[in-house]
Amino acid sequence: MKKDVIDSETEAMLRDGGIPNAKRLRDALLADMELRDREANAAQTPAYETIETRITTQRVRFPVIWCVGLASAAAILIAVIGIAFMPRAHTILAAGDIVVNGKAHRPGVPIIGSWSAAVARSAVFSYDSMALIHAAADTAMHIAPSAGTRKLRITVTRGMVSAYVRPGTECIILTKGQYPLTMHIHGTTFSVDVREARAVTVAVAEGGMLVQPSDASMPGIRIRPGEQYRFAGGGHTASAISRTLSSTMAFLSYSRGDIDRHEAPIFVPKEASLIDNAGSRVDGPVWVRGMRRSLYAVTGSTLPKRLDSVSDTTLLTAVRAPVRVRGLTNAIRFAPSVSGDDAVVCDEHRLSLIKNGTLRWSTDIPRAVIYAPLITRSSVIVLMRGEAITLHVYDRLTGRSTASIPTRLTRPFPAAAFENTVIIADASGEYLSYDIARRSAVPGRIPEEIVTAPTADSTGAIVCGRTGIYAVGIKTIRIATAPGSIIMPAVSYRGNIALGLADGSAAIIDRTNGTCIRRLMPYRMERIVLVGDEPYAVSGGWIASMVSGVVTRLPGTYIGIEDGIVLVRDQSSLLWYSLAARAIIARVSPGLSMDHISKTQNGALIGSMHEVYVLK
Amino acid sequence: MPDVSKDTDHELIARVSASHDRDAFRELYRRYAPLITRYASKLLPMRTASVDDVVQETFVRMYERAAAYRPVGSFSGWLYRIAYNLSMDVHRTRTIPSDMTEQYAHTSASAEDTFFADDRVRRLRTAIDALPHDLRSIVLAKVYIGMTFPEASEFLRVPLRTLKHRFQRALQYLGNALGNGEGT
Repeated sequence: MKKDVIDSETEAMLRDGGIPNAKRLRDALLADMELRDREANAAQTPAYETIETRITTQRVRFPVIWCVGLASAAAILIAVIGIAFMPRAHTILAAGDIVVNGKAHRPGVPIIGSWSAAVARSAVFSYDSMALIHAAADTAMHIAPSAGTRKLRITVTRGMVSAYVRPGTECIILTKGQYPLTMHIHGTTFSVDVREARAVTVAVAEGGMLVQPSDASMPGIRIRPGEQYRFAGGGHTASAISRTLSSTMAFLSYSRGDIDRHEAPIFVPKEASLIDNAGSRVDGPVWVRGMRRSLYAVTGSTLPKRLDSVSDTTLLTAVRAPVRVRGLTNAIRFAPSVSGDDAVVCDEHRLSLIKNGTLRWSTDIPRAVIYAPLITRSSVIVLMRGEAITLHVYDRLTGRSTASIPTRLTRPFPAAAFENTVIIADASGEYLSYDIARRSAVPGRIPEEIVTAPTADSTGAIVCGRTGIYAVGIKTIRIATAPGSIIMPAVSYRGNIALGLADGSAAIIDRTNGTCIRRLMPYRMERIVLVGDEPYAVSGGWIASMVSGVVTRLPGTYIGIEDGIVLVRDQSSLLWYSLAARAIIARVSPGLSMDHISKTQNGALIGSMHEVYVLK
Repeated sequence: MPDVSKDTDHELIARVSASHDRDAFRELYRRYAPLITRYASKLLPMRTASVDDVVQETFVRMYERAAAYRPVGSFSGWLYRIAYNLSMDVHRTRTIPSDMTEQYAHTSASAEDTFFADDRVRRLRTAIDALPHDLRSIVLAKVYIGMTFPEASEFLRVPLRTLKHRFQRALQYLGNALGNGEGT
């Protein structure tokens, strides 16, 4: 069945059959065949238990229909002849009966061995001496014991099952929903409801149970008596979050699938407890609406501590909040730049550095700045417009001006920095390489117009002409020719370069030999960004790794990204969304029109007039 | 549990037919479920949920209709036909792939393929979906399943000449569809 090429009969038809656009069609068919082949290879075969349960259910239908018919007929006969003379019809299902492997069983009758059950009506029955099981009407399940052990494995594909599991027995419940769960239960009473296609509700009446998400590497959730958990879309998200945290997590609060409605999970390390704003201890996992550092504190000692003083960095990673920067009085220009604890903003007349939310220095600037400032290890660099463009360098620590370098550039792009060098490229094809340590600038040129801002990595900078890709620095080296017109800044990663082209496609270029090693057609790609050491294609509300192919839908419109945290906006709020955790980790509603948000390439900070937020 | 792993397909389906033998059925599932999954995936790209349904329904029907099976051809051919017909039923419903409606937290192969799929492929698939059923079934059998004209003729029960003519018409339609959407 496998096919990698178009067969000769189809080739002949394409060649001689008067097919319009035959070559284009042939290419599309080949591409589609390859894609379908990839999809087919990745397809998961459904679990056998699902099929077996369905077969049992199918077989039950007929007895049920016949039985109902017979029951009706019997009722009529009873009315006519009289119940006293009617022999008992054991083949007719009565209320509470169940059908196991096609045979009717009476409630309470012990059943031994592996079996599938389709319950026509609500029924209680026992499995050997290990569990008493109550199945609601229209429940389908499969039960199998593990040989030689007191382990019971129940797969519920539809309906509701509750059970009392006798102490000493381990009962494993598997559900076949969108988010499959395995529940390990020892001597307890519980119920599992899988009536909804994508949600499972688990309630525990006594004892306790551990719920393990489908990925066995993740920590489980211990559910205690009286608690009820509902696993839906948020379960998936929360599971992903737990992966990034310490394995000592004992409690995990799910967000009920409402991540997009401001709820977020709180994580409590083992043997810790939650302290609310009033200093009271909160027992057990909690569902929290919104994430505010001042709302809850976590402590492992007997004394309540505010979260600010907790040194557990893992926890702080999960609990972050936007902080409004104080001390800004004038309307700022551009989105501020952020590096570590420092944020640099500029208004019409001043350049200011804010450290940890506090104004550290502010200095007058002679002319208007044309792009957001660039922060390097020791300097703050801005471009100012005069008759030509001037490069101004300020000391990051003090704000003192250290250099002012006039250039011949007239149409520069935002600058890029690597190590001690800053590259400023001009649309004319000229660029300036400024060495911060030596305070010297060296001009250079590529033999065509530059069309995008330069991008830097640890070894140098890349500038792009319409089709040429160049490494610039001490000298200019042509790396490759793009397989189309370049329209967005290139991204350099792991010896490759990712490009966005005018036809909407993306190309991956091998930097060592200049060959195009992959073409992609990301859906409505708007830009390529570097996250860690992987290029990501960004498209409105989506972001997708161009290496792994993992696509993430964002909870709003993309604004910027830094350190794997995407800044997005919805109609009324700014959201910080962690790609690693796949969850919103912070949110703020500035109360201003979202249209006023300045876009930034480093998404940790947003400016709207003089309202600026930094994610702490 | 009896060892059925060495039984032939014909022997197994005969046992399913005679006594609804679960062990025989399980063995057939073990042998063919991965193949049918691949097969249905090729016929129903980006419809993971539909592929699951088709695979399940194929085996349920095999179980129910085991008595109707006649060992004149291969068992696999019979099973593939069931899967094919069910896949065509899904095509007729023209449902939106459910994977596309997932929450943003969800990442699936379908989303990946949708995001990265070549635009030509997207247009081609749209055009194939828009084909009349008799033309679409020929394209899928001929191009994606890889049947020869005589095999497709027998499989689809369409006379050979008619089939070739329809295939040509289908390619013409697809060629036009691709050409109309192309800017260059």
